[in-house]
Amino acid sequence: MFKIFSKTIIVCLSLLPSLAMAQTIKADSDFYTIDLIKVYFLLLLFATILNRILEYLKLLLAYLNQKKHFLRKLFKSLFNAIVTKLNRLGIDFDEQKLYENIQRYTISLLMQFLGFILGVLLAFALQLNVLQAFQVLPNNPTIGLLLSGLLIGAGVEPVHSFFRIAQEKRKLKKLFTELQK
Amino acid sequence: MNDIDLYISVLLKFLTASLLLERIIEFFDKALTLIGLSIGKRSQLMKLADIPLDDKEQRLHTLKKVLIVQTAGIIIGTLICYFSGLGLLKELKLINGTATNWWDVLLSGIFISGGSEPIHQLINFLKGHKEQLKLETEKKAQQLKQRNNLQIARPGSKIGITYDGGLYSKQPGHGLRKSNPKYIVIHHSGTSTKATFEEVVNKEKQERKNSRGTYRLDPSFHAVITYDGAIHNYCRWDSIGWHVAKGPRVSNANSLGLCFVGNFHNRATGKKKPSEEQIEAGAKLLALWRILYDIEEKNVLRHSDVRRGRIVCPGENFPMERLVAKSTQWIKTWRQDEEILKDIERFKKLRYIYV
Repeated sequence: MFKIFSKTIIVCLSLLPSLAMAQTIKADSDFYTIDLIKVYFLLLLFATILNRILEYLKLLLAYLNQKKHFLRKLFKSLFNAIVTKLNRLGIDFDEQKLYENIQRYTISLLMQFLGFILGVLLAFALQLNVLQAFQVLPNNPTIGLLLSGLLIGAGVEPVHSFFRIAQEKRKLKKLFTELQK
Repeated sequence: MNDIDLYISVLLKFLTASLLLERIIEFFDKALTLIGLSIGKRSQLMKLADIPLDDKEQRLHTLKKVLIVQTAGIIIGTLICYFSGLGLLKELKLINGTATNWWDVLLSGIFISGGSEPIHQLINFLKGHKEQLKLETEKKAQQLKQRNNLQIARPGSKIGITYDGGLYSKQPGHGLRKSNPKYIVIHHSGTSTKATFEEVVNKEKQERKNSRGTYRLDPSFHAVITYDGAIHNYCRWDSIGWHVAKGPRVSNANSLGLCFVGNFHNRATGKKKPSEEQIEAGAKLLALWRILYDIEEKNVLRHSDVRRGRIVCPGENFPMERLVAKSTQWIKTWRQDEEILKDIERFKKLRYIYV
């Protein structure tokens, strides 16, 4: 449940800007430009690297948690809050499994946030502006860099979805423009 | 080499490094097992004896091993990049300078420690998009070529005049002519020289009154030439435009109206003349009409010549003689050019020209 929720957040974060942005793409502008492919590739590349870093950190945290009870206070407080809630609702549960799931999902969520932060840092450091590549108006550099960072942090799949939706939207817009003529 | 080719070549370098790393890690994994066995590690010995570990112990063991292998992968990858001078950002020209940054080396090490699969995917991605980009470029070039061919093929392109029925191609002005025009009447718009074609049309759309009631001139002229020399087709050439007050010989039914934007009558504000661009474009259009309808030079008239009286159009400063002489000159020039004659022949076949 928590995992699905976390994934939904990531997908929404990556898709909503793409939907909004794709509306503003000029119907007659060229979608396939070398600049666009460059940005698309760089986003994928950094998403791949970041994904690798996060996977490694997740593994490290999981190990440290098993060995040294890392972040124990955070897990305990979350566990207590959820247990109180479940007890109030009168739901039976396995304490051990619940504690393990809380650990796993909290680490996943923390890693996702860390991914977004690192992604934004990378985008700002390397000036990767996805809006510039789409020739979207108004081209706000800060928003473009933030969006690129969030996409890098979200991972490879959201990057693909973002570009796919933008392309589809543009095709539809072009079709409507042609129909209106 | 374009950017995509550069990226592919960079990825190929990293692919080689990652394949090397994969072999090292494979060897490292086997070495770890061997070391574990040689020092008599309990979990390794149990695995050798095919005795299953308990769940928690198994999980921790796997986690530990994966962590060691991955840490080793990152360290070895970083070392490979450091000693071979490989920097992902430097190679991709995302950072300036020839010196390799420590964080660039670290990122590169992490990148190749992920194995060759993601690098393969990125290379395939680039190859696919390169192909698609090439196809799109070819398609666009073909479309552009077709468009250019169409433009060249369009009748009138050789003489710089196009016609597709004017402003109201679907309706025949104030009725179709019974015969082709015999006269051309020259007008001025009586407006500022800055007036646009739309402003002239709006002026002609204004309602007027006479003893018979309310009427509009629109569409009046068959063509309007703005101060910049642009020709705007207005009333259909095969139709009657309301541009002239009926005289003893000339009427709307047997004439074409050509209007020059501006007021070329002497006024207190000064003496205005049409621009050279207007005269040039007007002379060409006159020449074309004279060829199309076989109109004699003497039948090109000022509006004021049609019915003598209070009409001053197109104004005292309008260079009528120069305009007509230029049009005659164009006719002579065109008749010596085979290509232009062919173009005019094709022009004659257009719709809305002849009755």
